[in-house]
Amino acid sequence: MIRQSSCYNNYNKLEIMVRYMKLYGLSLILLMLPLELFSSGIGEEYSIEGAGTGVEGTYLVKVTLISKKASVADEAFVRCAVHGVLFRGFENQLLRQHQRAMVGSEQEEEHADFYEIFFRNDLSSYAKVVEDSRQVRMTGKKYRISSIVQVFKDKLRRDLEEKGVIKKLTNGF
Amino acid sequence: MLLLVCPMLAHAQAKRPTLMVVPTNSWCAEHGFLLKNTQQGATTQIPDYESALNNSIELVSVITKIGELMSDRGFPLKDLSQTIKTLRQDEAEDEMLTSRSSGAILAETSIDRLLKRAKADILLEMAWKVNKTGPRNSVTYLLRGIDAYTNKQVAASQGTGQPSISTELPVLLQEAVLDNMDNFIIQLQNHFEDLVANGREVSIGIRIFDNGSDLSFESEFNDKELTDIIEEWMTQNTVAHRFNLTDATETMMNFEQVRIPLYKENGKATDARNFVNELRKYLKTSFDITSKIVTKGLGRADLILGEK
Repeated sequence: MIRQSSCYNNYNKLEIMVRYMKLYGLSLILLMLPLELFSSGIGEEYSIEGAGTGVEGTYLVKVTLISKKASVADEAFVRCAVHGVLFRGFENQLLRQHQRAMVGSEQEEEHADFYEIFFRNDLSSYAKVVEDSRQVRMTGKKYRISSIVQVFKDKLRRDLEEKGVIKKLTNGF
Repeated sequence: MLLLVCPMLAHAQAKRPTLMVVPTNSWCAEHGFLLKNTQQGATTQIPDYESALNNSIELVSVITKIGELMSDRGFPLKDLSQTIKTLRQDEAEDEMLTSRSSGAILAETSIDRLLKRAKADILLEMAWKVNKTGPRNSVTYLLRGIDAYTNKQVAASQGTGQPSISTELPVLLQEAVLDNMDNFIIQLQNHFEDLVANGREVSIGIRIFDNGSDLSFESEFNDKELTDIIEEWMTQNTVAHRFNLTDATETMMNFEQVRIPLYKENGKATDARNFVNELRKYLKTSFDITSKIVTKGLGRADLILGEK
C-alpha cells in the first residue's frame, strides 16, 4: 500500500514535470519566433529579410514560411517575397541592409481590390526562388521553411506604375 | 467656360525641378579638391568640382551611376561636368563677343558674375569614405538631397556596406549606390507628392533700392503700411495662406516656406519668378511702385522696390 502510494506520488511528480516541460518548451518556441512574423493579407504567415545585394534591378530576400507541411510550393515564396517588397520592406543587421517598402501598407488597403486579384495571378515574372536555397527546420508542430528569392523589383515597379496603382516619380510634373 | 479651362489644366505641367549630383564639401576637403577664394581680405574655401571630376574616376563613376538610375525613373539629372564645360564655354564666348558697329563688349553686372555657377534646384550631395579594418575594406556612403533655395534636406540615404577582403573599391561603391538609391528615391517622391498637393515651397526676399526716394516698408499707402499691404497680398495668393515672414525691417522683408500654387488660373506652370511678378504688377498698378525682379532659380526670387 505504501509502495503503491509512493508509486502514485512519483507518477504525479512525473506528470507535473512533463506538463512544465511542455509549458516551458512552448514558451521557448514562441520566443524563438521572430517579432516581424505575422499573417499577411495574402493568407501566408511569413517573415522577410535581406539576403545580400542583388544584381541591378533586383532584390535578394530570404523568405521564411511557417507551415504545417514540410513541402511548400515555390509560388508561395514568390508571392510572399513580392508582398514583402511592396508593403513591408526588409532589413538584415548582419548584412547591413535596410530597405523601405516600395509602396507601404496603406497602399495595400487603398488598392485592396487590385491587389487581391494581383496576388492570385502568376507572379513568376516578378520573382523566382534561387535554386538549392531551401532550408527546412521544425519548431514545435510547425515547419519553418526558408528560401532565397530574387525579386525583379524594377519590372515590378514599372508594371504597377503602368497599371496606375503606384505613382511615378515624374507624377505631377 | 469650364469646358474651356479644363483641357488647359489637363495639359498643364509643373516645371520639373532640376537635380544635379555634386560631391559634399567634406569629400572635396578630404580629397584636396578645394579652391581658396580671397575677397576683401577674408579667405574662404570653396569646392573645386572641375578638379575633382578631372582627377577622381570613382567620383565620375558614382555620379554616372546615380544619373543612370534616375534616368530609369524618368528623371534625368543635370550633369555636373557638362554644366561646368558650358559655363567655361559661355565665359570664353562672352569675352570674345563684341558689337560690330561700336566694338562694345557684353554688359555684365556683378550679380550676373555671381550667378554664373553650377546650380540646380535640388542638389544631390554625395560622399563616401573607405573604412579599413585589418585586411577588410568597407564603404560608408551618403546621399542627400538639399533644396538649394530653402536649404531643406528633402531626402537622404546612408549606410555602411559589408566589409570585404577581395572586392575592389569601384565594386563596393556601385553596391553602395544600388543599396541606397531606392530608399532615397522613395523620400524624393514623397517630397514631390507634397509639392503637387500643397504647392511649391519658395523663398522670397523683398528689398528697397537706396536711391534717396524715401520709400521704406513703413511708408503708408491708403493708411496702410507697405509691410501690411505686401503681407495681405501674400495671404491672398499663397496656397492655404501658408508662408512665414521671417524678417521684416523698414528696408527688407524675408518670406520663407511660401507655398505657391503649381499652376496659374490659366493653367500655365508657375515658379518663384512668376509669383513675384504678380506682386510686382500689383504694386505697380495699385500703388505706382516700380520694382525689379532678381531670379535665383525656380525656388527663390527677390523683388527690389524703388526702380528697375
